[in-house]
Amino acid sequence: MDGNGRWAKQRGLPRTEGHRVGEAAVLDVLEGAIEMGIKHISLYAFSTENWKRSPAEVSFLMNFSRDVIHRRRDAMHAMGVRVRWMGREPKLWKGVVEELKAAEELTRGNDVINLYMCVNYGGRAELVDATTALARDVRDGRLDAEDVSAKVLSRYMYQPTMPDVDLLIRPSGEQRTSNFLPWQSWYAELVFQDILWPDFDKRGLWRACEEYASRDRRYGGALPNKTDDAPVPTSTA
Amino acid sequence: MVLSVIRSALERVYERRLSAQLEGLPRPQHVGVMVDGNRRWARGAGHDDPREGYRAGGAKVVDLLGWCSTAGIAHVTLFMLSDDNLHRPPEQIGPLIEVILETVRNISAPGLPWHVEVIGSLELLPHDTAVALKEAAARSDGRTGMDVDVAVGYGGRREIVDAVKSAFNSHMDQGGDPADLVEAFSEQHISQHLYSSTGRDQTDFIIRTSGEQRLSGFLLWQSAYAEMHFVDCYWPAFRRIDFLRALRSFAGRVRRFGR
Repeated sequence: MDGNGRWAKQRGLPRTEGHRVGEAAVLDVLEGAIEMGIKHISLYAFSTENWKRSPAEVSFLMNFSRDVIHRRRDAMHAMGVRVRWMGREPKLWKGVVEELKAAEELTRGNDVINLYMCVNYGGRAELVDATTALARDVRDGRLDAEDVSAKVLSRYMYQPTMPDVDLLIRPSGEQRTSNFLPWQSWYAELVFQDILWPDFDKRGLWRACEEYASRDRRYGGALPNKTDDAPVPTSTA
Repeated sequence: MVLSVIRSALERVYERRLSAQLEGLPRPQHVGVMVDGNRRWARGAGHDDPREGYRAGGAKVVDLLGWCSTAGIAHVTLFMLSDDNLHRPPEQIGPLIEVILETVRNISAPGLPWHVEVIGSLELLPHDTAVALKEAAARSDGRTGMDVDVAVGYGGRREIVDAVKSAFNSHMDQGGDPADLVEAFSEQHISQHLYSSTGRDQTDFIIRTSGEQRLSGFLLWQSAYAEMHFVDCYWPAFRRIDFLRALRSFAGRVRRFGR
């Protein structure tokens, strides 16, 4: 979710106003994903690098994240959304952690769609945390360091049951992934869109899915896939 | 004939103009290039033998490195063969590996300034090939020009796993306590144990040809904050103009690193 600050700047509004308008986009995109039958969607809300922003913006974002999760929790629950948090606990404001955990708890039994909220998330940080957890098992004799493989390391990610990302959408015209799910999206199709997040909605998601359906995914093989039906991504970010 | 002469003259003029525009603009230090589309280029050019595509692609790599040197780039990583590519049938892989070997020999030939290294899981290749690749690259040891990493049998997930294992092993070899790894494992542990000996743990710019828009595991750790540039043409058709346009695109990017 990118471009809130620039969206506000273009309109002569404070950056925080962009974040506020971005809130509606989240619910609309979730609805659109459910309508398409997508089972997993990850949203990049706050990165481990975002602490570098001004103290005022950081504290706005902390309060805002806490409030959004709180106010939208019941609506998401009613939609059958299962909320899961991905990120680091240290540094994150206590109120945010509490709301995330409460939303996880409330929606535990839902299975319409999994929503992975990436809050204080960084892809490199996730790999470091996964390795640390793995090192703990090595230390305690539950795992032999020689047996470490990509499959084993995957089991130590924040959400080990989350499938690899099929489609990664980056709005706001930037062409980079900014440390978002590098491990899980190693073979993801990347779709860059010129739209800023507050202007994004389910149609943006659908356009990206259309583009995804036209891509030729080979996983290192040379032969093209042959499919009759347009493929729908299982996991979107 | 006349048309092609005019065309190439115009291209040279345009090239010079592009280079001039790039003067003083930010340029990437470390560029990753995914040289994709050799086989498709060969088919499109009417060659029955895909080897023609590999050969043309190999020759283009030498051109590219010249362009990068001139542009003042410090480090280029070329994605020539992934670990997943090795699942292709041997009759397809064999000729490709031959061309890769020949390319590595060419770019580390005596008299060239580049420091060439082959990175990836060479143990997945036939033993003789792995040895020949390493020997070819070793001829460039000690050279202080641009660093060139040739990724062969490379996979980004595998590289991270290998870095983790190597960080664990070096910690234990120094008589370290495994408990310390739990306490203090950090990004540096992975960054310092990547395949490349250059120590650069960040890629600034990734160029991929042939219209695909995905990373396919390329420099998975290093590309966390990389700018990406996708070009529709197949690798053998990539021109200096396309390269300079890519650099122009990079120069226009606003890199914020989370700020």
